[in-house]
Amino acid sequence: MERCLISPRPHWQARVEAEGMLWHTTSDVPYWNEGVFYRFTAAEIETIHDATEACHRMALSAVGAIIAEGTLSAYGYDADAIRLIEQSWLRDERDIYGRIDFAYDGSGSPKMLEYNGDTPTSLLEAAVVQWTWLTDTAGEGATNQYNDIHRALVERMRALKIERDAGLLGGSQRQAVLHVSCVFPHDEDTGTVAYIESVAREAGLEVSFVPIDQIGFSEVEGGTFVDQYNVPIRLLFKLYPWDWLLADDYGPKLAAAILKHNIRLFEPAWKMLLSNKLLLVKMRDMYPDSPYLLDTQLSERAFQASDRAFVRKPALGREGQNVSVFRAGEVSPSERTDGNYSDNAFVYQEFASLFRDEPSGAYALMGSWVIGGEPQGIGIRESDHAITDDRSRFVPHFFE
Amino acid sequence: MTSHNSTKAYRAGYLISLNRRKARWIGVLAGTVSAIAMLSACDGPQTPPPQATPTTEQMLVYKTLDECKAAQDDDALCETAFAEAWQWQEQQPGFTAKQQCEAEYGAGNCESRANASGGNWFVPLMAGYMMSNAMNNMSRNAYMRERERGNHSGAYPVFVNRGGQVSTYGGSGTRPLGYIVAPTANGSRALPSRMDLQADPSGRGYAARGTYGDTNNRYQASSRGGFGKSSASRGSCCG
Repeated sequence: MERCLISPRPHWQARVEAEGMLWHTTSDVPYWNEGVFYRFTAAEIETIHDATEACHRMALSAVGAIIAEGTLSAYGYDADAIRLIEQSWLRDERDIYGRIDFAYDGSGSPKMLEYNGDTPTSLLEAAVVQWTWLTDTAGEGATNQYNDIHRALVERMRALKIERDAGLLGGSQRQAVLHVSCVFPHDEDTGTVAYIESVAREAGLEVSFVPIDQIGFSEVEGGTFVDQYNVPIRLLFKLYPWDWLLADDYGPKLAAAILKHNIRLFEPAWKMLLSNKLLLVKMRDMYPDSPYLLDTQLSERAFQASDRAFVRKPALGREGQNVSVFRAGEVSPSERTDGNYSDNAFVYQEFASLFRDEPSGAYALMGSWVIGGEPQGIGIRESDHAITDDRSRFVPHFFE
Repeated sequence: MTSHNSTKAYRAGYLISLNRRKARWIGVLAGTVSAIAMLSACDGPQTPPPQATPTTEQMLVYKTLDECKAAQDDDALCETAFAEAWQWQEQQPGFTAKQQCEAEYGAGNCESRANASGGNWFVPLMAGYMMSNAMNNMSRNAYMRERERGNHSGAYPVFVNRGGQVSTYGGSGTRPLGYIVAPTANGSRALPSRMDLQADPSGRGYAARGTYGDTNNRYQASSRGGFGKSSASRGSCCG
């Protein structure tokens, strides 16, 4: 694993915009940074692939165990959320996508930091923009990038269409258009949703976009959600967290409509547990010998007692908010971020160092995509800080 | 479907741009993605939002170009409408395997499309095409003026699947039209000569009546805006 410098393509801004990525620059700083790329060996890619597969499997086992034990309330869920998680899991509702973030520097085993199972972004960057960078830079026939994300997403959407048409997603879902929704206006989220939309269309699904705050509610059929044209929403891909949906005013109505099968959401409700960092504690308990899992606890005491560095993270935090890094033996954090998640439960995770490039001071975080249950490629985000946040930069990669 | 010389140059130009896109993914570049359409509506000069009450239109359906010419005053109108429908026909994503396509549309009812990088995919044959009755007996020039003014959304292909269900393809993707045609003695299916359809409120196609809400819609929302509050308190949601 090596960080390399390269000249950006001439007119790269127009190139990535043509692919739908309008959020390539934030306050004059490129978010999409093709002045840098990462080079891997095939063996390193295999290692990441294996780690992703193992961590996904362990995460699913942990979800299954928590549901079987009936301990969901310990994860911060109320009665509605518990019923939704249980129903979606017991009915075997298939998910679409997720991203596991790893600390990996090319040596040893990748260490799982968290699983973005509910609302992962940087999808278009990983699936499309870095691929075009590869074929523009290395030639039309180049394939040496760990990235089969687009093909896998189309395949997953084709399967979804088959399930829909066969009535397997529910009677009122048969023939229904797929609605896609997110906060609007918001370039990055809308762009990500537009990519999902185009993938779904490529798979033969009909798609409508509705901004999340324009969704309406009708009493018909015991509670039906409708789009801005009063068309019933039967299948909804929402780039908006489950815990937010349930906390919003429509939360109880949504829970009721889902339980009546009037609407079906993607990701399914059980995916909210994957994004809950309390799950990492359960995974570590179940698989203490896994080389991919960091010691993760509900308290900092064990780390302090043994003079080990650790990281404090909010259970439902996003974008690196409210994270604190504690060096070995120190009681105040060496690095910390503010945010909107100080009201959360916290987990304490053994510190794992990200890839660090000394000359530039850049840290690199490995985002490994799971599509339809299988590892399908990576995207790398660089940061000037040990905590990767929304100021990070996406950089492409290839392997040899 | 009868092909026609006047459509060929148009079709060739269209295929070139299509092939470029098809190599990796389609959608955003084609401008058919509804989320992106909303974004550009937001960034540009104020475009009126899609009207909330879609209109029902009666559509004229022709199986062939000749059938249209026999019915219309101006042959050129038929050719233009056919070219418009053909554009959508060529734009469909279709199926990667012929068997998948034929499973939906029946044996012999699919044709292949090739792209520059050597891949190919399959689309159903056009069973016919349709245009609004409001354009009936217009001259081509009048038709084009109406189109430029945005008064009509143009002509679209019509497909019939194995079950006899009639559908179209347009800016909102493949849309069932709510009509079912029975097979005739020789196995072919007679298309209805007229269909009452709803215009897509975004002006990019047609769908079965009842697809889009109207003021008499039984799903009329009793409230709106119950989602989104968390994003105000938590900030950006997704990452």
